[in-house]
Amino acid sequence: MTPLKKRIEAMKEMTPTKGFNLVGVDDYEEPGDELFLVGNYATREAAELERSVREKASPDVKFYIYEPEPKNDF
Amino acid sequence: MKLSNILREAIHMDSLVNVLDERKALPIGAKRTWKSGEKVKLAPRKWVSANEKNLKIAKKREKREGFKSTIQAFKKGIEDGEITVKKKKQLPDGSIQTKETKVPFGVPGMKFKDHVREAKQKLKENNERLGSLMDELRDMAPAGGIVQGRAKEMESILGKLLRKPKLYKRPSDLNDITGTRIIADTVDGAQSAVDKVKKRFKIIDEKDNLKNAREDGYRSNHLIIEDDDGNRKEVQIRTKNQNTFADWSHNVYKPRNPEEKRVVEQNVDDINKFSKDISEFFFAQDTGKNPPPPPRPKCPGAISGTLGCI
Repeated sequence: MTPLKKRIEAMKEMTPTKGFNLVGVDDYEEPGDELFLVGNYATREAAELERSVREKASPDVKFYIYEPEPKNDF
Repeated sequence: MKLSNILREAIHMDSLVNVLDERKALPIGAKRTWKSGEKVKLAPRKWVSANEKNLKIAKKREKREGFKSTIQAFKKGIEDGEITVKKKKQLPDGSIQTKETKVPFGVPGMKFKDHVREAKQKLKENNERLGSLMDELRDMAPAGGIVQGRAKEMESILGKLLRKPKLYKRPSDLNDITGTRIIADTVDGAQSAVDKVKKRFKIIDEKDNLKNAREDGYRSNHLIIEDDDGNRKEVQIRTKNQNTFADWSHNVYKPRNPEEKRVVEQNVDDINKFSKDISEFFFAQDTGKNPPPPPRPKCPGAISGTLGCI
């Protein structure tokens, strides 16, 4: 698996089915191992709140909020 | 029946609703304000058992604080003594096959709290030394070089133990609780820093992709050193261009809408090609090759609209 493919798969693993996942990027890790889950939150606001706390504590680490894939009704 | 008896009975039942309906008892706190002879009418009140109550509190807490799943998964792994590890493999048709295997987890006799305590202790030790280690690395960096450093986040430590349970049993097994980086202007400058680090520290492991690129074009030298405090740490050494390249490659993790995700997945080959080409272009620049480097590779539309161009 190429590094890009590993990263895409890692991103899928971190995508929640419910709520919002706050995910950090540890850029010292190998491709596909960089993401770590901080927590799953019921609301985006709660995730944003935690993100702002984390970003203050670790300004060099990137934090992203992943939300569930939209359901296809067709 | 006395009210106290009804309440005692309710403790053993999941709901008091039926009891209230049948016996016209009052829930705690209800005011008795009726006139003599008037019939008491009470709206049935939903009573919940202790378990239901705890569940509600837990849900509220989850909403407020978030569900710490890395930590909870770790705790469960320690309690069970094993975890399920997923191994993904790409098949010739491009699809991904996932194989799950159960693997022993943690150190026998070490509880969850012991693991967390050890991780905190290691973080403390690493944080205390980080500043002075970076000062030393600054002295080893070539003129104009940059030094970066970080200590791992707790979730990243536990997450790595969960991902690689065969390789790392406990927090002190990790080699990169401290990660540092020397960023030089040129490949020669980076190589001189590598030599100085090797001379100063005991080298435990080395992955040298500085001159021979990884399959995606990434070029860097990763050294695992044994520091004076006895902890193993990682020192990554690369050029400024390669650092830009590495940052760019992490753009894939940015949240994107389904359409952008589809574009990325459908253009994996183009992205890989651009990745290799731009890295080669940077390498030619960084080595000061003569004749001058080839023209900068064009950034395809699929990349400019998703990962962004460099």
